[in-house]
Amino acid sequence: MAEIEKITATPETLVDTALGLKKAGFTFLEFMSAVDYVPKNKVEPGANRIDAVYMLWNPGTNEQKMITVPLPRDNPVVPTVMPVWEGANWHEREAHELFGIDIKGHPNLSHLLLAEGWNDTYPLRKDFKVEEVEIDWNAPTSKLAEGEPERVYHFAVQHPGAHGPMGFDLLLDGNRILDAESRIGYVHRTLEKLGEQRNYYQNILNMERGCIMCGMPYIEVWARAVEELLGIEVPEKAKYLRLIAVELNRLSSHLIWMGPQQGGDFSYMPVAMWAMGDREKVLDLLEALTGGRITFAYIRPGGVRWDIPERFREMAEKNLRYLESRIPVYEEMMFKEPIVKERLTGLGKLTPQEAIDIGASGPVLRATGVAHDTRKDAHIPIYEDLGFQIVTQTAGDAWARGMVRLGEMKESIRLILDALDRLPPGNSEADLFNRKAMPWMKVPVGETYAVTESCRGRLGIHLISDGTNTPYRTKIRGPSFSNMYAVEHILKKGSYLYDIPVLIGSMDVCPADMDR
Amino acid sequence: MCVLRIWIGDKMLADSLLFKLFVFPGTVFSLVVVLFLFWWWRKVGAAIQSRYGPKHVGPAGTLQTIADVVKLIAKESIIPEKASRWFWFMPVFSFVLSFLFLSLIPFTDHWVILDFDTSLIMLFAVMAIEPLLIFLVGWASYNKYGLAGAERAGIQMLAYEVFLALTFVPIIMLSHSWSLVGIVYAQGVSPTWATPVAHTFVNRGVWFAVVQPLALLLSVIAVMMAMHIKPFDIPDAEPEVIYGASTEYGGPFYALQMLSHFLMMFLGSGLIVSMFFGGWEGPYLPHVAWFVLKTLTVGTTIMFIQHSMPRLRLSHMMEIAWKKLVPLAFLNIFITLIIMEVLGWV
Amino acid sequence: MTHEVPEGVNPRDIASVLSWVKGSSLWNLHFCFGCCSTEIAAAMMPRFDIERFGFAPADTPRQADVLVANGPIARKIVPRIQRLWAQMPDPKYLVVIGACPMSGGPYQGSYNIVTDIRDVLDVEPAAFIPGCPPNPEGILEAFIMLKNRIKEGSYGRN
Repeated sequence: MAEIEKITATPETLVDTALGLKKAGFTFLEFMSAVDYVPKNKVEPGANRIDAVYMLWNPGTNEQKMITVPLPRDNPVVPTVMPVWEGANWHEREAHELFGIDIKGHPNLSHLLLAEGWNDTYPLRKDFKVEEVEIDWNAPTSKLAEGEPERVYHFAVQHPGAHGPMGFDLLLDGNRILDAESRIGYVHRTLEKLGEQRNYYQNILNMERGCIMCGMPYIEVWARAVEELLGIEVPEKAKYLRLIAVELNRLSSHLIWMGPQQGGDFSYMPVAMWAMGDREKVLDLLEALTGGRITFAYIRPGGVRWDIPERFREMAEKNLRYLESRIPVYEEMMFKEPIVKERLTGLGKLTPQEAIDIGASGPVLRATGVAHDTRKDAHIPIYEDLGFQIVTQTAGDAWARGMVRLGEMKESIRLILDALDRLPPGNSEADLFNRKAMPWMKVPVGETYAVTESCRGRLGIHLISDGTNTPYRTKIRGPSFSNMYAVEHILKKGSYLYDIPVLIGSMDVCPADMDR
Repeated sequence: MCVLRIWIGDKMLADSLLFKLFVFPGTVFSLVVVLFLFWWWRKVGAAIQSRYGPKHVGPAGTLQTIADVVKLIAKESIIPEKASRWFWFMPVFSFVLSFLFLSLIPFTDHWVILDFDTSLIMLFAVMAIEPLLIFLVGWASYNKYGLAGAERAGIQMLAYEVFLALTFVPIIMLSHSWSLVGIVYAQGVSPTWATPVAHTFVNRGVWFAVVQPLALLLSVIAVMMAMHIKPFDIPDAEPEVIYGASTEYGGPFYALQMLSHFLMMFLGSGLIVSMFFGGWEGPYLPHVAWFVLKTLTVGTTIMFIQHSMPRLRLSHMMEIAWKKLVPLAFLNIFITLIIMEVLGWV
Repeated sequence: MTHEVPEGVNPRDIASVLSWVKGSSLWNLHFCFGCCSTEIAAAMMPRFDIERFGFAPADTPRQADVLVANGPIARKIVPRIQRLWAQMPDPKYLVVIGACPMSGGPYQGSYNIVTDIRDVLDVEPAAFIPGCPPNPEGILEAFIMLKNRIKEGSYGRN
């Protein structure tokens, strides 16, 4: 992506600037975060402030803009932009706890990712010392039913229906949910801070673990961000190989979604087991190509690491044609099955405006009818050459989201097989990666925001480099962060206990992606 | 067979109540059946899911259930401090209740522990207590998830009780009998011994499955709802209430509940066999063997349904029960009246 | 791998029968700390099917025997791990899967990660399986190692 257009604002003019930009079409808030410029930094030597950053996207014209608000380090205060974009809710909470920025007017500034009793130290600041952290383990964890903690129903962490270490604290009346509060942050492995400590190659392993089920798009977008700053091109064959790797990962992620996630919500064991069994075929292909099933370290800044092995084409043809024949089976068993259809239809309905306002992306957004896929928007190489089609539905409910993912699986299979057919010849090193990007390289000072379509939605990395071999700031915009907020938004509108696991499953929330 | 011909004084051992209570069809047999059924259930489920299921613990995994049960009994039994003092009592009582159910099911007219001319009413009573027991189990455990599961068991009871009773009405109409043995006799099955209990019945000479296919379908659904079998296992819905009413129960308590669950599955199938498939009738093999075989077949069919369907949503189940199943049950009663008119059966 | 009643089990010796029983029916608590849980899920699914050996998932800690530490230990999740461990009835075992619970894994240097599960739970794990994440075969290896150690009597309180 080209240079990001920056707009500076002050805390006083922030809300008006935001409103103006929203009216101009920038209706999607990608993220709100901050950058800490310490005096000794090499990006802007001499600067001593914290910049609050608001990254915006215009779905209509596909433009990207960034609002920066310079703030004094000793007392950074900004007003909340929730009236403009509802999805800013959690982003502001995260910026508050990690950077210490006070958000005026925010309804709930309690800890989101960090432990509830974390003291007033701000981890993502450059002067943070981990020895100063003290956690008060007796701090109350839930604001619901104050004084009566026993009334709170914990649908979180170990609960099998919560799809991982995340969830909600609920106030229930029978099966009806009166109030819901999210509980996330149990897998907060601080990838962003680690990103500043690792060099550009070590960061491949760091970024890859951004999402367990969907690591390939992470390293793809990381590699593109670094290449952007280095100003280098990737060889043609590497672009094709990247596409194949990413789409294989997307297939395996959607299969695990359909199986244990959405199928497991109904304890629909045949679908859960068969989907996982079929996923092994995709993992066989991934293992043949990269050596790993879940974590790959395949895509590197500059290209990819290896060529396809012998007989990969035959293996891919066989496995993917088998999968293609299985998709109608799953469609029949899941989406046409009366019980499942009854449970999914009308569940968690989002309108396009709501979804964009929250920042939901990926199949969640496309199920509401908005035909946006970052693979097309960001002009990621090769997709358009292969005639990539965006899959949409209109209903906006859980059933539509499922159908979008099913359609995406078919599209992925077609893309992989087409890419394999058109793979450029040549198997020398120069066809695989650009030697200008090597492990201990220093990346010149610069700032970029690269986006891609991960399996769950719009994934972005805001990368600021300072001329050394480690980045200055790596902000990850994880799609599940906003998609989980969509679940909380839906629960607060009034829902039922038996709908929660299905909702979390249909939004395909990955806790690793959410907590980073 | 030799054990059956042991004489004590002038009475056969096999005729004694103690034998029936403790060996067959009582305690020993029910334990054997449960051990077999749990293994069979896992194997059937695994086969549907393209897996193997238990394989290495004992030949083809048959010792797996014994290992599971012994392990559970050997575990520490934890009773939460704030749990009700009835905490330990409930699982024991639910096992006793399923044992009471067992006593009423006629393996043959000889091999039945409790045989009297209104045994079906007692069966209904036992089946009606069971969800209340589950509710108490969930309540006594002082655990949110237990209570949530208990509430669901209560709601499910409201859905199926009336429906269950209505599905059995046509059978009673056809057979003119309120006892299970009488219902089996009414299907044209000849008595295997001179039972001391006088059963009133009208012999129709045909298995009721032939005359009442709709009632068969409805009663299978009703039994699945009553035994909390998927797609109706809403009280134990893992993604929603961790383990439902039994969340807090581990170790030996859980072993008891597991055993009583599978015993009830067997007995529910046995009930269907008695009412629709002619009980113990069959050529060549001993009558008891036929009963057990038929029950296992019905049980396997129920397992097939269970393992291949998703779970219903609570509100959906309530809707189906009252908007579709109860009217169907009434319709079936009406159809039975017409059939009886047409066939001249009084 | 065949596991019929092993030679070491002497039916007259209750202790050895009990260890065989405990090793043959290990139920692991469904508790996912992080990434490796995907491979544990894959281990229960058609291709690897650890249920063949008697290892089954348990949803509630009261019915679980094994706590599988399967991911990075964020500070926030520490009290939950300790509480769940306390809720599991004896005899219970701990198995460490993946690089994170034994050394922090790829997240060493992070401000929010506890690097060793033994700092959280005061118990010695029965098996350490490195990997990021280990294969489902590796996870199966962990369970088999636990089973053998139970059989040898070298682990756990009986």
